[in-house]
Amino acid sequence: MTLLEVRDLAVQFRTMDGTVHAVDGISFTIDKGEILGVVGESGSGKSVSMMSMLGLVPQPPGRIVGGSVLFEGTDLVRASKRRMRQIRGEQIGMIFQDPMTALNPVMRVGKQISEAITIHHRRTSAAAASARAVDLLRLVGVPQPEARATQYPHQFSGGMRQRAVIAMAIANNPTLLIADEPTTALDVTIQAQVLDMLRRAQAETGAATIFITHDLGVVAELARRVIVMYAGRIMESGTVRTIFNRPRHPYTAGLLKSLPSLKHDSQTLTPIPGNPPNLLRPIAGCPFQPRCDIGRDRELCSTTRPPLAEVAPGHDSACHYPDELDGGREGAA
Amino acid sequence: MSLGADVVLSESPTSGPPLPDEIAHRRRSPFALGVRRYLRNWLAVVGGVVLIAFLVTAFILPLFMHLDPYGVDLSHARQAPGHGHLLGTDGTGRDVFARLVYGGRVSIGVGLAAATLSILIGATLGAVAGTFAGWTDMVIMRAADIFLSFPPIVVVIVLAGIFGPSVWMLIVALGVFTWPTSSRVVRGVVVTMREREFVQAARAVGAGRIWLITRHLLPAALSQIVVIFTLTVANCLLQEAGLSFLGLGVVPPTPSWGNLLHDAQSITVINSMPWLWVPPGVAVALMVLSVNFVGDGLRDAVDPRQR
Amino acid sequence: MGSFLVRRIAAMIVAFLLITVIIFWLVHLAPGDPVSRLIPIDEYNAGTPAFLAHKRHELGLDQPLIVQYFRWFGDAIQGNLGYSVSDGRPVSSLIAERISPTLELMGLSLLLGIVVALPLGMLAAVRKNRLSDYLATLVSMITISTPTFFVGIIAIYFFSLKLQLLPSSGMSDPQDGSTSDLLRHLVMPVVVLGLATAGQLTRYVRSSVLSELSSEYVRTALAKGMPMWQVLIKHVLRNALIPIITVIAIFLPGLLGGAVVVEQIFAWPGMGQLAVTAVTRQDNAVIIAFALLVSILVLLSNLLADLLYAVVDPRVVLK
Repeated sequence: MTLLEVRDLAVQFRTMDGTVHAVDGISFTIDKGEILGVVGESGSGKSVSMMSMLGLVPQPPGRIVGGSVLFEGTDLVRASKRRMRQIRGEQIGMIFQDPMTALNPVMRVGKQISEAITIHHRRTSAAAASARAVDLLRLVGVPQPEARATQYPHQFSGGMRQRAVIAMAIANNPTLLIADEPTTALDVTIQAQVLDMLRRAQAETGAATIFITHDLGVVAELARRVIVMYAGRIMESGTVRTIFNRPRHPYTAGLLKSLPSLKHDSQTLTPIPGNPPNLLRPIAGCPFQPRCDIGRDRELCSTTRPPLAEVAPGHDSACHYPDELDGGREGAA
Repeated sequence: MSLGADVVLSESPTSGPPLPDEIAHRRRSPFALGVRRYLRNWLAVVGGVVLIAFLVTAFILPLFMHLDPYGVDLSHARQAPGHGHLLGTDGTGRDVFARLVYGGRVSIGVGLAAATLSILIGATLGAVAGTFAGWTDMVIMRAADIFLSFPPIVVVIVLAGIFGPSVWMLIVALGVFTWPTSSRVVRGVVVTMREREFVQAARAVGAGRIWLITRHLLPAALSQIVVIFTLTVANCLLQEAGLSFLGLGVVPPTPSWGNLLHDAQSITVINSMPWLWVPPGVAVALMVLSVNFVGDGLRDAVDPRQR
Repeated sequence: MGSFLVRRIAAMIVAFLLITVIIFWLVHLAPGDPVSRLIPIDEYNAGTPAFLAHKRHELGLDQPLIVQYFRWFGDAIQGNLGYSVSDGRPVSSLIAERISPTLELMGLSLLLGIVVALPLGMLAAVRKNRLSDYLATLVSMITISTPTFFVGIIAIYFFSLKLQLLPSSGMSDPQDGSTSDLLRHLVMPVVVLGLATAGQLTRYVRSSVLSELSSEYVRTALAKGMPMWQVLIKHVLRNALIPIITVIAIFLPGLLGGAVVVEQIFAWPGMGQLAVTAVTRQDNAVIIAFALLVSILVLLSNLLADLLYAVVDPRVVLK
């Protein structure tokens, strides 16, 4: 059952240098309880699109210029501020990238978690809310949660802080969790623990989860379906298995080739040549065309925007020539 | 009235609106970008125009117009504006406009001189503190804290009380007690620069510390110094006015904007001779205001994050 | 915390000793007969040369400078600050009766300044680059740039002379000692000094709130579903206050500088007026006492700033 349906969402930033087309018409859906991976390089618009759904993009300079975000019958783009506040934190929980800065440095961790509850449940007593905060800390694997709840964020390690942020996000049993690169800022050893924690939190609450990352490996581990973003657009979407085995977009193929793997020698790693396009200029055709082996010399690719079209059941690609790819990692091996 | 000196609150380098990192800047020189940012700030532009008008009036106008700030004429004392005196005459028949123009010279001169001294001391100590770190740094910055919190006005009261007021003492006292602002800024720049690659590289090839300070660190701090200089000038102008108003700064008959207002302490003058106190008061306020706006505009132009 | 305090206080004492040496040395350079400020002026004026020479010896003024310093310092910390040349009274009792009016003026002005600056600065920061921000910035810039004495004169012109609403000088009417009379006398000095303080503080509040607003914890709080005004009060304000409180503590002496001018305009019988009068009368004993008091205020407010910083910011561990 569809929980969230995003249609043609477009977000722009007005800057001194001009208008940045940060998110340029993206559409996708997520079902109840599903884990969806969103991958892309930094600047591909993946964070901005998710933030804008929650109305968390600062306006100005940001602005949603089009599209709709249907969440359980409410269009989040057009919803009143009041309705948005009810949804935020209650029905949609958010986990941020950097746990070092995501917590208020001068407020006790327990208080920050219990606050997430009392905002939405005014009748909850302070004592009950802080008891729940301790429970939540225990749930996300923070040792000695009673003592930890009275501490300040600077007394927590990075991994512990991210657990506290997760506790905050799941405090009200949301139906949707958005995790914005939740492990990027952490040490590699901690990353696995926090990922594991996230998976358990997801299982515990049954919340659908949008997992934003630039790490394809993490997506493979966690998600069933994945969306690949580039230059504010969706390039390809499908199940992790099909996309990893047989990418149907040259950008995805390029990403996979640049991914280190135990199966391959490091010499075979090939970074994608060139740079992402300047989003200050409108792009008529495919944004990946200048870096693409297939489309570089083709007029169609530089003049006509390829639609995100089904190439196989449940597998979409925004490429004019999806069949010219020789099929991902297995092909390269 | 300023509460001593202008403090720049430290702000984290990541402050500013969280813009998406996809914004690719068109390539422009930092200077051109700065000029563009400055011109966008209309208060700063207006401030600049007013400032230039003041400078022209104080320093160039007397070259073309006969103005006598000292000519006593008791038969025409306390005349309202008009009758050949644009702003009337004071208690001894001197032309108020002439005294205002020459007072501007003195006030602006004192402000510039004191601010220059302040910046020289501050930049030097700040650069030394930032470069040598450790003990030197601690002592200098601790001293800066203490100097910063001594209100110059109080210092001058003490000095004027003991030695009698004079312009030179005023300049030195203002300079010596406003340096901490610039020293903090310069130190901040130096500390961040110290870690940069080209300085490390210069170190690696055996460049001396003095060489580093004069050739690399101070030039990098220059734009910030210009900003602080402007704000210090504004502060010194205010302090001079306050002190001369109290009779502790520029000593009559030499006119200054502050001591022109000294005469306005009597109720009779306030009540019936507004031409004696309104023009110098407005002049100080406008001048300081425009210098402050210019300073603010420069700061935003140099470092847009600070706004 | 304990050892931090001990070290800070030790450093403070060293700084204070240094300042007293400088003051003593300056006074030593001053023109005039030092005996004149150490004994009541009537005695000095009536004294024969022999008597004055005797006094000079008795006061230790023929001793080496270093001995004189310690003698002076010992007297000073016992409250023996010499005698005023103008009315022959001991300086300590003169100062004692002047301190409280000045503290009243400073305290109320600071309060007014904070009450005005906090909401105004927050408003300006939240509405950054909108009309209310520009207005707040413009108004605070005008109050910073306009000399207090000019504002004071304008206030006297309108409120005392034209509208005849408020008294232009003093602390009370000799014929009327009521509280309302005191309040009427307080209004103009406090508002003039308070607005100058508010102008300065508004800018700090704005810039501090602004830098906090871009912090990620603001977004976290918003993502919890908290309304913006609550985020401001519960999260942003506490963080933004950390540097502001420190700034306020450091600028307490600056407030005294402002009070000096305001006292002069409104003939407010405080320390500042005493000091300015002392300068015009070459009353060095009073000036020295004033300098010592200001130094103590400066050092104490620096210490206060450090302590407050540690109290309001849980991340700061004093060691």
